[in-house]
Amino acid sequence: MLAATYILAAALLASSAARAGDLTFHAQAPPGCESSTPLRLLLKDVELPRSRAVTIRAYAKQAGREEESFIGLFAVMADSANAAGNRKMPQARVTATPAFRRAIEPGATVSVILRPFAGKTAMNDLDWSVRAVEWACR
Amino acid sequence: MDRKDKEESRRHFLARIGADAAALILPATLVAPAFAQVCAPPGSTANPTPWTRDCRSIQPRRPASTLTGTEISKLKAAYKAMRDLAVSDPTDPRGFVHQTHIHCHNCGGGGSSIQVHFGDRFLPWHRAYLYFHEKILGQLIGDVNFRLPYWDWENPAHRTMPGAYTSPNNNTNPLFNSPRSMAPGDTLDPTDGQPATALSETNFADFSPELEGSPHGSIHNAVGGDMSAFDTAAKDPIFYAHHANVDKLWSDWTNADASHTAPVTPAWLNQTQGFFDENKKWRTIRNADVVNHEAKLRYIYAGRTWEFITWLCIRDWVLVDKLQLIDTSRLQLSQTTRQKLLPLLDKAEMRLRLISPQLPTDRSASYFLYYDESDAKANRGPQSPSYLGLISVVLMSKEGDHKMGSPRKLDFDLKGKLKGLTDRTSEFSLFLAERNAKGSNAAVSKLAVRGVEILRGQEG
Repeated sequence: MLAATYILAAALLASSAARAGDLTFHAQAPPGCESSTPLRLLLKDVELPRSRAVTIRAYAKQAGREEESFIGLFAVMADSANAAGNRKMPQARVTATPAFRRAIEPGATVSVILRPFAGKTAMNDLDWSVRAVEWACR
Repeated sequence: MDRKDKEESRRHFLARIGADAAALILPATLVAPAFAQVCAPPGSTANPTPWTRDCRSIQPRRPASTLTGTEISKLKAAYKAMRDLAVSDPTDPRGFVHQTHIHCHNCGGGGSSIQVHFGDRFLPWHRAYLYFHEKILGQLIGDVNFRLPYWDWENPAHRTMPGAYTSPNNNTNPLFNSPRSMAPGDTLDPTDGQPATALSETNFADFSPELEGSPHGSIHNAVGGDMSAFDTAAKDPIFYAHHANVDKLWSDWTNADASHTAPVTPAWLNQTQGFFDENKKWRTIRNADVVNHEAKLRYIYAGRTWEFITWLCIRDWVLVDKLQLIDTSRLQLSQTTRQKLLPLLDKAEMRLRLISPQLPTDRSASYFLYYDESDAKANRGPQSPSYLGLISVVLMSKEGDHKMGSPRKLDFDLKGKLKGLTDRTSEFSLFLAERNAKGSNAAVSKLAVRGVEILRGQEG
């Protein structure tokens, strides 16, 4: 079981309705995990079309800054190009890269941007949803 | 394995990885997706014959981008034979169409209830799948030593699709597949194909799903076309080179630390997978049979930690003698050691083992290892008399974090090289030369070690 103590920060101030393209969440600052412990971004209630292969790249933007930092990614293959309906995942996880962990300032609040891709091409037409994002050390 | 065992194994895995990953896994496995194609295995799968011992010689799987012209021709001939078989005898389970259906059927395709992704079967099932596929390819070209290549997409120099699969980029090439999004010369996005986070996991229950999500999934999606969907992915021959690399990363992770082990529960170890073998016989193979791919499945991976070829069924490697260490980078072969080695010059099953070699870890690179400095400077690789093998250093991140460190030991095949080594009467050193550096450009460095041993294979 994922113990409650693992979740050090969680906040969501964004919509959960299905929409196309990027999803943006205003989350709290990532927790300062011990260096040997992975920092993960947990995506809650993810819904994606079964017919689409999707690579979700997660980026963070610190308040007052323009540049984005790459957090990490996860990818899901399609069941079939002809598959009907959506894949519903109660949770998916993105493990933060070492570069992101170094770049993020302690205590800084970040917005999380989830960007769907087909390979290198942004999927601006993808109807998908994520209810919430959470940071966790585990 | 019956349903109860499968569920027990599944529960164990989910308990280990925690509810967060379970939440990711459950819906995809419990909800059968709607697939268009029928992809059930041909013929009867009743009364399976359990897989038994494989006594072929151990052979390396090599990086697809470094195959020789002869090796590429052999690879293409094997896939052409497999494609031809699908036409000449559509019922033959060894034909290419049925081979591609294996993946489809085991991913819920055609109404199947089986799903080998999103759980603890992902790595062992794909290892077994490639093993039988590889044996069939070898049999079709009459070469029991045939091994699949791997696409080492984590190597920055190999982030385009290997040339064999795109040249020519049309249907005359048995390795070509038309519906690919990735064109010849296209490079992967820098964020795809990064195994660092997966390799830094400390237990199988975290390692497997991390590897499966990315880089495994993201490479599937980056290639695109058939590769991006479960039911069609195996129609693209690059699938097998891609999964060989995923398998190699499992192997690398296992070798990186003694604590990196596969599950040890009887439920997981006894979980079985079914495949048609090279003789069209339906076989079952257990997870326990695939954990040690070198001893059981008779292949190793060239290019990361060692490169050697051994023969027969080696039961164990026994120490013949240790070389004298004058200091960490100066060696000497004593008269006593030489006397022990001289009767073994004709034996094929000999290894040189380096104990705690101090490899450069400032960047990812591949090095040729020599025991003669002039050979190292000329850097002609396997053509040099004192060439011992290839060592690839792959950092776990380009930022230099989470370095895997130097391995505890590295083994090299001494077939045909023992005499040259025993002829060294004065002290000598081991030298590394970067693989791609040529002639006077070769930066040569002495390799420091804590020990050097000569081993002899003991036949089983």
